[in-house]
Amino acid sequence: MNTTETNISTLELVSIQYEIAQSLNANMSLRALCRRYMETCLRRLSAKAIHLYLPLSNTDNTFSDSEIVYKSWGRISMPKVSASFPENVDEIRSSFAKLIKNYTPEQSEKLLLKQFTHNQTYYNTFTLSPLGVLIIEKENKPLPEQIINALAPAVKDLFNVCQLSIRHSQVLNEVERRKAAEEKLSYIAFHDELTGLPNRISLIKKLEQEISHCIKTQQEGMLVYVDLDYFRDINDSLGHVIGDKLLQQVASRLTNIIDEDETLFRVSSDEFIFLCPSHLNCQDRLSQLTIDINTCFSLVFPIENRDLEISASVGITHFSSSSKSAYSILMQSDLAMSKAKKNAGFSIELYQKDMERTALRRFLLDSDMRKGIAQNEFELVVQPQVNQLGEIISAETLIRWKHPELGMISPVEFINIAEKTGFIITLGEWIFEQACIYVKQLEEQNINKNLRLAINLSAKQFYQLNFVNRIKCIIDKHKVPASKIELELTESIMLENAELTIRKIKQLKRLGIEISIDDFGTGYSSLSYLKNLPIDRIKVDRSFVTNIDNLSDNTAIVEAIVLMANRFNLKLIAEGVENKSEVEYLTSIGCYEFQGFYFYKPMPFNDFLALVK
Amino acid sequence: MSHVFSGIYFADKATIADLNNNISLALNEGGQSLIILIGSEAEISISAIPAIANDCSTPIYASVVPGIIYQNTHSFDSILILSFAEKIEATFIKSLSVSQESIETELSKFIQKNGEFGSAFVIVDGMSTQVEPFMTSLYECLGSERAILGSGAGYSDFRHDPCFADSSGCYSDAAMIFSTSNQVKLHSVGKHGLHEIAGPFLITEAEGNVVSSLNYQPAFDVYKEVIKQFNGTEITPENFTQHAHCFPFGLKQLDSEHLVRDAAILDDKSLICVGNVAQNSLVYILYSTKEQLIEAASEAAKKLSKSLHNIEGKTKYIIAIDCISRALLLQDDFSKELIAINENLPENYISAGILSLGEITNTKQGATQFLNKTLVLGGV
Repeated sequence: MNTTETNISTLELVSIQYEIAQSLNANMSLRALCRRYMETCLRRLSAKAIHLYLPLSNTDNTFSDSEIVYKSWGRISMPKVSASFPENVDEIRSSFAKLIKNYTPEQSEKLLLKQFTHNQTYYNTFTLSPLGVLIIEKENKPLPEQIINALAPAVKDLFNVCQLSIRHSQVLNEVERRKAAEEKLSYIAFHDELTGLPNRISLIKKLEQEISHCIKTQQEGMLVYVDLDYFRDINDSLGHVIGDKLLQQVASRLTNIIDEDETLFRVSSDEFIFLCPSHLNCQDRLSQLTIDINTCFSLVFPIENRDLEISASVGITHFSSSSKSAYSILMQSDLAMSKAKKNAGFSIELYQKDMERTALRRFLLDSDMRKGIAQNEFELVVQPQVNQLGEIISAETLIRWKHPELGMISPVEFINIAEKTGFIITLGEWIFEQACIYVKQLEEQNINKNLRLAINLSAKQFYQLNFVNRIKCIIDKHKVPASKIELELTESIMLENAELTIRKIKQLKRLGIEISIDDFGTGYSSLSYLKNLPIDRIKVDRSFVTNIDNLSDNTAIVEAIVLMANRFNLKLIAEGVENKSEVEYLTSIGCYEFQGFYFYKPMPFNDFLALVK
Repeated sequence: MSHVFSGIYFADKATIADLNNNISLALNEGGQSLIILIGSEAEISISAIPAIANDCSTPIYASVVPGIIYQNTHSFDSILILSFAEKIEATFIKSLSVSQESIETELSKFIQKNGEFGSAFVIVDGMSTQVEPFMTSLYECLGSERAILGSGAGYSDFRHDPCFADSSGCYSDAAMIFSTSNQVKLHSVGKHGLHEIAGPFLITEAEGNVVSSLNYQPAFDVYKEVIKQFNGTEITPENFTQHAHCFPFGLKQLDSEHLVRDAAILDDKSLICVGNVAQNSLVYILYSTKEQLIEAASEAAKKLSKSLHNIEGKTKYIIAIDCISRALLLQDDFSKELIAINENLPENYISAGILSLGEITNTKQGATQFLNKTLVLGGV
């Protein structure tokens, strides 16, 4: 170690030691504390530069690429720029190499002091293994030995405070990371990822606030529900990528038409809602907004070299201080939108109270239907089918529901609800089982052995994954011959997925079940389609049978159906036959089986039993 | 190497017409970028500059400084135009109160544009509380390979008003950095000529630029006692400003002259200085006779003259940054200091500069310092 002639008073040494040591603050970030320490050293020691080297382990991303030396050490320097940093000096580099080679996680108690000289530049190094190395760089003159010795405790403090700061930063970083993760989760919870718009949860929250605001101001706001028409078709035919791009463009266009105080939400796949707050002049704004929404959908959406056209159905409702809850407002706008949906093309409907009544009845019927099965409110009636001699050859089973309070409910109404809610699967199974019980009774009473019972099937039931198995299980359970059962499928079922339909029909036929096409003629069936289906019977829809003797159009259609049935060896039955002249005409063109009021109305099974005995 | 400046233009008791004429003259003589230094008592307001700068296709930057030095004269109502021979884009930090990271980003851009070597001229708002952090950032980012010469800007009555302008508007609490050469380090010399009359004292309580206690005693009590013992003067709150500029603090530095801090204001028993004073640092009370101050200026000029021979290429101008407090202390004798400087400079040089609110130069080691009561000379 070089000694110098500089005479330094004890007070000056104390002053230097104190000021440098006091500049340390463990609550600062590593860089900030180093900066303050180094600035103090530069000033008090009249140094050219200060360099601190720390092992990279546990320092996270403190160092930039240019500050990483020997792959495992990071350097912080004051100043940051230099023509030559100490690690470029050969002797210092070798010293570092030894330090890295002999690296041990055990902390040394002893601060190692060394001095290197290169081109009139003096480098005083302070090494405390494994915590770090501090280098003080001075030109032309080394640091006096008295200063070096006085400085040693303050350098040790620096290394220890750096460790504290690193640990402190790690804790802070962890807290920040958690906070960021929580913020992200919170964002995800309240926003739609695809469009960045606030989602349904946000809507409910905001709407509740707006209703509260209405209570204070006695003003009213509105909710505008926009649902894209046939969006699913775009997803199904062009794929979800195109579908998503379309949704993004729709979101963008709708965002462009909102006013400053309004908010646009994406509440589900293809549903967007405008929330127009209570302090706006609702009527004027509504007129403008509906025009703007219409304009949004009047232009094509250019997506990947395609110009997509899509329309929307819009439901509008107002909310005020008397509004019950955010959910009820949302439901109102949904009901209005659903009504708009029934119209073709871009359509707007304002919420009316009767919409709610209709929806409420639908809801109650759905709920009561589920209880109805357990409480034996359903009855399976039968309508006989006859041959040209009027002899009963089979019967179609028909479901009836007698509601304990509302009386008889039309099958059109409750089957429609059951189809929408999925209850049709449970109901369909009950019907099939009931029909099997009837077949069993017919069997037990030794009635005409060829008498079949026809059962209507819904698409949802038919396309269940294990439908055929379930049918087989019920047949086996009741030990009835499958040949006594006929399943009636609508044309629309068959068109939905022809390949799967054929496969399932073949499986059913292998069980011995007969298959007929119900409502034939309404589903635009083609010849080739009929040819490929392994069906037994066609049921001519009642709409063609009614007044067949007077209406030439119906005559032509039914004649064509008869020709087709003959061509493909299919049995034929006309339903909805109501008078003698219809029977005569049908017989004259080659249709010899009938169902209708002219012969028999639907009747309880016991009556039917008595009839066929 | 060509000259840094195509010309330096001075107008005493300057009017707007004088300013416009000198700008035209500077541009006609090849000026590519202009720094306009406006004496703080000049008729021209800094607010006039943005319009002038917007009307001019050449970049114009302006700053108000307490006074102007031109050769052997100094005044407070004149202007000085430094006309760069090449187009330069100043790094203009319009607020020093932004985060350290933002300032360092701006300074890093300076490095990206101009490299790490050469020289720079810096003007910083001398009344800003952010001067010292800025000086640290300046050295941290620019390093020791770029020589710095600079001045504190502001008004002679110490009011803190906007003192910077360019085409975008007027600013206070700001700083401008101009690259004067990207290859050559300018040579500068700083001297104050003050000597210790008492000390050392340990600064036992201080924050920022406020010194509250020396050797655990109220700072003012220690200070007034020293001066009473030195020349019998009784310093009171009433006559404090009259005498304090003669007795600045000198912060002890290891290998260099004391870093001077003028005690400008008395606040109860605390002394408010021009520039920060760190707690635990060692301080002396300094004094100088007028003769000693002038002698120091003379020495500084001699020292610079010798070093000018070592500069590559041509230098033509000497930029003088002389502390306003020296002019106030020397009063009528300040012209003797200017004469002493010019007498010791080579004949073919023109000296011009600023009566400053703080002086900026590098230490022997290269670090950048904000000084008080000092004369800094640099050859460009």
